[in-house]
Amino acid sequence: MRTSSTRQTNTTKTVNEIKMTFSANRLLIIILLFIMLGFGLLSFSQGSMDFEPLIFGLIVSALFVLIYVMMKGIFHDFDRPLFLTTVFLLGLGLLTQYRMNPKNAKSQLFMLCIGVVLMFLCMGTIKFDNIMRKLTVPIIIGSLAIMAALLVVGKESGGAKNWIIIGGRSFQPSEFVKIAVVFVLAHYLDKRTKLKKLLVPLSFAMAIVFLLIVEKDLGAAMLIALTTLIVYFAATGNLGITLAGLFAGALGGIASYKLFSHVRLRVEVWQNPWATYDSSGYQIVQGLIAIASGGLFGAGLGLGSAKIIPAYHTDYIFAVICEEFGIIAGVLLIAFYIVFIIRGFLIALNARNRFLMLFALGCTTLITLQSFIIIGGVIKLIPLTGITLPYISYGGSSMIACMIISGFLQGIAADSKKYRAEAEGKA
Amino acid sequence: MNTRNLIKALLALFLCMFIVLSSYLVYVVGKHGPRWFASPYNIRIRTQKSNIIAGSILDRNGVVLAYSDSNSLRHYNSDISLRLSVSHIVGDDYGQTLGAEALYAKYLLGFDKNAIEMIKHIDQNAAPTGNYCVLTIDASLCKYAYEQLDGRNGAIIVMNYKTGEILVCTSSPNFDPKKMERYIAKEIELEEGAMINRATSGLYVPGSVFKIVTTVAALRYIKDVENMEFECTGELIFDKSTGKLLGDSKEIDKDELTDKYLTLIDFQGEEHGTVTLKDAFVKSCNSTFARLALQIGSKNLYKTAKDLGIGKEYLFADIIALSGSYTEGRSEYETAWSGVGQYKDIVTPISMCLLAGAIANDGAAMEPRLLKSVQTSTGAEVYSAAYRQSYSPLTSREASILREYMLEAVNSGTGRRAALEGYNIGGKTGTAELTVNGKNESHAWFCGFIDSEKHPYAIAVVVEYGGSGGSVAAPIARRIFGKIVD
Repeated sequence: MRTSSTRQTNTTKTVNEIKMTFSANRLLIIILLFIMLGFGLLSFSQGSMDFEPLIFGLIVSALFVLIYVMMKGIFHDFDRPLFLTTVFLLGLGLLTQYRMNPKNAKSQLFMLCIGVVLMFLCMGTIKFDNIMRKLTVPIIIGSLAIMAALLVVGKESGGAKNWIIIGGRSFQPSEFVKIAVVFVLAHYLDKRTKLKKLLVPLSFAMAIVFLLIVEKDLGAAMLIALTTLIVYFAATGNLGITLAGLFAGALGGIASYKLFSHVRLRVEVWQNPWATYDSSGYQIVQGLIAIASGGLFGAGLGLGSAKIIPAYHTDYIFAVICEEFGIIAGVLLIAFYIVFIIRGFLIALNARNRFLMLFALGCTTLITLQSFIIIGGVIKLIPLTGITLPYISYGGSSMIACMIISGFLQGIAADSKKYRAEAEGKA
Repeated sequence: MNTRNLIKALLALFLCMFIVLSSYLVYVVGKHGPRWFASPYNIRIRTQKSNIIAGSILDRNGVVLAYSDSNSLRHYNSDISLRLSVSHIVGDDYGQTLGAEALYAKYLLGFDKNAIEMIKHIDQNAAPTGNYCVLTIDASLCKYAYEQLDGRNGAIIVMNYKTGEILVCTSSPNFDPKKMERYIAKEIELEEGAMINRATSGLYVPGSVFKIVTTVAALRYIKDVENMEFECTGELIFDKSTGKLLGDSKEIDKDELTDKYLTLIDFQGEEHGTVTLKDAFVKSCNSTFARLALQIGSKNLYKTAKDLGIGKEYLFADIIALSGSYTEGRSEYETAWSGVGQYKDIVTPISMCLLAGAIANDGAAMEPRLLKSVQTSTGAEVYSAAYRQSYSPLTSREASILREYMLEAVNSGTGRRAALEGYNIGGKTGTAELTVNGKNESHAWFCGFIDSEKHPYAIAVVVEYGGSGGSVAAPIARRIFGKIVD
């Protein structure tokens, strides 16, 4: 009896797996078709045929197919829905960037290629999580050092002193430090320990947040502070301390509102951007007008005028997408992030051990909060804080960091499935 | 809870956050999107003007108020007086004002055309044309109303209270859309605030027209107030330091107080003697309404004012309008003044017109309509206004009491000069007192309605520094009503 039932489940499993791979293939084709249609439209948009967008689109599609094939070859059990969501976001991002400024799209594609390499590397490291964890202390010291160094050698851009120039290219270290914070938290929160022993990771996170505030990178500070609280809460279940942390954060927010004029300005602009249209309200107002001008179905790719919004290619890319593809696309884009979140959480829940579970949770939380903060800011649900929209916004550091996060999540997914299969095999 | 369950809980939290995010996106664009789009800051409107021949703007009788020639140049009606009288409603070609040109740009500039229509246009060599907008206003009546202001600043608005259609809307000072380019270049000086439509956005002290609000509040919060009697000696006396009511001029000897008092006096110091609520309303008795305001309390007055639309956020589809505000008094003295429409009370002509209309319409305020229909250049109708109730400020009983009071005020009270032979006119006058550079001035107010099935119109008239409402604004209302029923 028993043997037959096992065999039965085995067969259904294989059938399911085949189905899933098959539908993943198909979905990938649909996504690539969408991207190619977009680039095709751009090719024809000038009246005469311009092959450049089409070629660019083909290169992008080929890259996606290559990643897919390589992932299937190397890590058989990677998470397909998460992969497809990522591909869609990346494709839409490159398409939108190309439409706004081909030069940006090309440099973004270059960064994506670096990101892909790093993604594969990160996927590979998950297997050796015990060795990786030995690096915790160097990671802490390195992160603190680089954030402190920014105070001295950092270059100011957009009001925040958070850039560093290496070899002619500018990098935003906070993008990578946020992953480091999540890693460190997962490492220390692995075992249920007393608060005393958590002094190291928590004060590390607090120090990073403090440095970011000093450097006026409020978006990243808020992101890291909230992520820390969430990972801490999930690991310990200590509601009291979590609420105390939130409360302290709120107090800090109120204090900075009272103390710093730039924070006050931000809140005032949020409440009524129209009043200060000529100065600080300009960006938000133009963003809202762009979203409203697209209507339900959008002005059409290439037919919007969102270029007048400052930071249209980074912070305001959501408004650009809303204008050209419509509110419907805005809602769908949010839905894609929801899929990302669900898959990320499922990966965390199925992870091989507690460290990987917390790490996956932290990585997913970073993407979740980041997209919420920037989309919410653009549509004026919350005060605007400059931060990139994951996988879509222009920005090398952000793109690479997102790919690293993808790598870790995919690695944990593949690893847990393999581990489970091996465990079953042994049993 | 263990970590796995906590993670599941967090997932639920995140999902809720993202559902809120997308719902908010749809909600906020649905609610404010058309206004954002019509904003003068929207460069898309300017860009589109060079790609398309904008549609014409017509009044309800087909009078062309604005049109574009084949070179996309915009022209306005050649009758200067008519052009000026509707300048705020029609707007301008440079996105400086929030008239039909900006608010209905979607139709005029063909943003509402679907993909198939746009592709069809590519075929033809002729430049595409936008749709025509037919407004609800009667331009010749607007011109007539504007002439009644006789060079004084002010605003007049007339609405059909059964449908919400705005028949007349004029505001002075105004601008000439033909000269907009020169205004922008500062070649011609424009009077300050000339680009603001005072009928919809002019913030005025209401004076006694606010007694409509106080009356409704009295009906709501003071039991059996209709049958009460009040004593009016023409003056109320308050303590100067605390602002507390000490009594009326009969009870208190002012000389004993040696200047440590404040007063609230009736218009021209009239003594009304013993009055009922209806008498007080008809005679516009300040002392009685001040006493009522104190009895109602400023919190309840605030609530009632908000219910009646004052302090409401107006989000009408067709026009941009403000509603005014009521501020609670901090002392009895301030509350007393707030009950007679002074202190910090602010209303707009349209908010009073809507209120008068609601009183005549059994308590229901209709959403103001300015866009009657949209047609293609070949005459096919693509949009037609649907009439709907905006909000319901009064119960039918309150409305009928107020209607009776307002009819009586025109019949025998302060609004006598609005009376029109053969018609039942109801209304309330107001004389909003202001101190300008140490001089006492007053805005003349009248808001009212024709109680008629055939001519269901409500009106609000403000004449800035015009004098008393009864002698200045009421006759204007009578003349306009006379012209309408003619």
